[in-house]
Amino acid sequence: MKLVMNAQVHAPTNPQTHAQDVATDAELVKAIRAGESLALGNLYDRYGNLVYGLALRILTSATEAEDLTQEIFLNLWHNQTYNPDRGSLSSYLTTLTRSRAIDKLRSRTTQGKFLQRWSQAMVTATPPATPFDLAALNQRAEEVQQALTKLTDKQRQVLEMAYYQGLSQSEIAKKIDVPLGTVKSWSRQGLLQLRKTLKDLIT
Amino acid sequence: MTVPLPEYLEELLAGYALGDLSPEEAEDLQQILLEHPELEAEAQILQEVLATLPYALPVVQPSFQVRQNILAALDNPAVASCRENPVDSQENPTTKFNIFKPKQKWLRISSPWVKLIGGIAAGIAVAIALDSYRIRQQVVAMQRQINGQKSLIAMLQQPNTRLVSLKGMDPTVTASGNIVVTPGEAQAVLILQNLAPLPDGQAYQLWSIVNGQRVPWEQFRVDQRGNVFAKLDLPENFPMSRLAITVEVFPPPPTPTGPMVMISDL
Repeated sequence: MKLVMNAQVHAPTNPQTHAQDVATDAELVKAIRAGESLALGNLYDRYGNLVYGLALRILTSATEAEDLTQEIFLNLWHNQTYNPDRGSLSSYLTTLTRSRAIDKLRSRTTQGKFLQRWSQAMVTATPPATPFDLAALNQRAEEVQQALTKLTDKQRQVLEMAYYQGLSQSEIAKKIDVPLGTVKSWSRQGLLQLRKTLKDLIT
Repeated sequence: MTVPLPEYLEELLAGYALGDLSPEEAEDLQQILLEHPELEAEAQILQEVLATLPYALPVVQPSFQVRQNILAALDNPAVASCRENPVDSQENPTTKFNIFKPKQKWLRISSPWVKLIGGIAAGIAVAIALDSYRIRQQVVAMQRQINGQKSLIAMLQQPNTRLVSLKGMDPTVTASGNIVVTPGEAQAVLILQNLAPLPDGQAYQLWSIVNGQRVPWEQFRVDQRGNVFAKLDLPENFPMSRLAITVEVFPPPPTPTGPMVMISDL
């Protein structure tokens, strides 16, 4: 399976092109395991902005976000914990980035244990490989942005508070002053709505 | 157990992906998944959906240095031998079941010594690779300290700079130090040592004693070792005379109320 990446949304930081630009994520991961550093550079060009953007959104510090980006890609190189059969690389990277960014956030703000549980849960459950891999990056971005507009403001708000701020549902309930059950309902329904909207991409 | 309603099942799966299942819900889901293992795929898909959220973020790019650092770290043998503890080796504590238990990874090393050395090397490498932020912070702190000392040296090079010595009132305490003042400069530098650290709510207060009147200058606190190195704003026409330091509360009172701990030699 060949995947032609159109990385305009998360544009390559290195404009160099070579044969690996058209390799699938799985092929590049295989190359990394064979010790080909060029493959890591290629994956960085593909996902560096995504990882950095997420890290920056959570940590709100460019320096820390850059350090974490470096950490994530070195992790990919050194640790062979990513299994292409169990999920897409982009999900693995965003999940790991989120988990580590929130760990850093928590060590900064000593937030609750709930957050730790969730962030670990997010890492332990690597999603399966799907045709989602086939979508070009910019198409994914558009699809997700579009899908988010289908949520109610409240659904989007609670999902984003949980995802980017690492807040537990009860913390969110306190913050926006609504019952815990309502927050749970909003976030679950929001996620299910996203699932329905993105069903063509993720099956 | 009866077949669950699709809505309830969807809620459970979404709750699992979000990590907000109650213990009762987690038990329900565990039971359902035991009976319908095919539903695990749906749970995973919901997690994949959640993991797409960052795609909606505005596009931002890290500096080019990040890419260079990553590739440079690969060329470093110490870093290249690094094997971090896999993040996903931790057991999932969200629920009592672990349907997505990751495959265990084992190092293919037989000798415990090799393993030990590998562990040490990995620790060092991780420290090198991952602690750059802390190192950068230390560099910034040191730079700040050097800059402070540079400005002090510059002050001391001024021909009209005065050093006002301060000594502790209590002979058993060896508190001592100086205030460096350059006429015309808007700041003075306070350097003291061996002053007792104060509890919260208290601070040392510097006074200038002019004709028996005490004019408050600035409050300051010392570090845990009893030292202070601070720049003090020196208002124009501030009456520089004999100086005294007392222990006061914050905000400072108009006249000294606490014990005097230091006094200048003038």
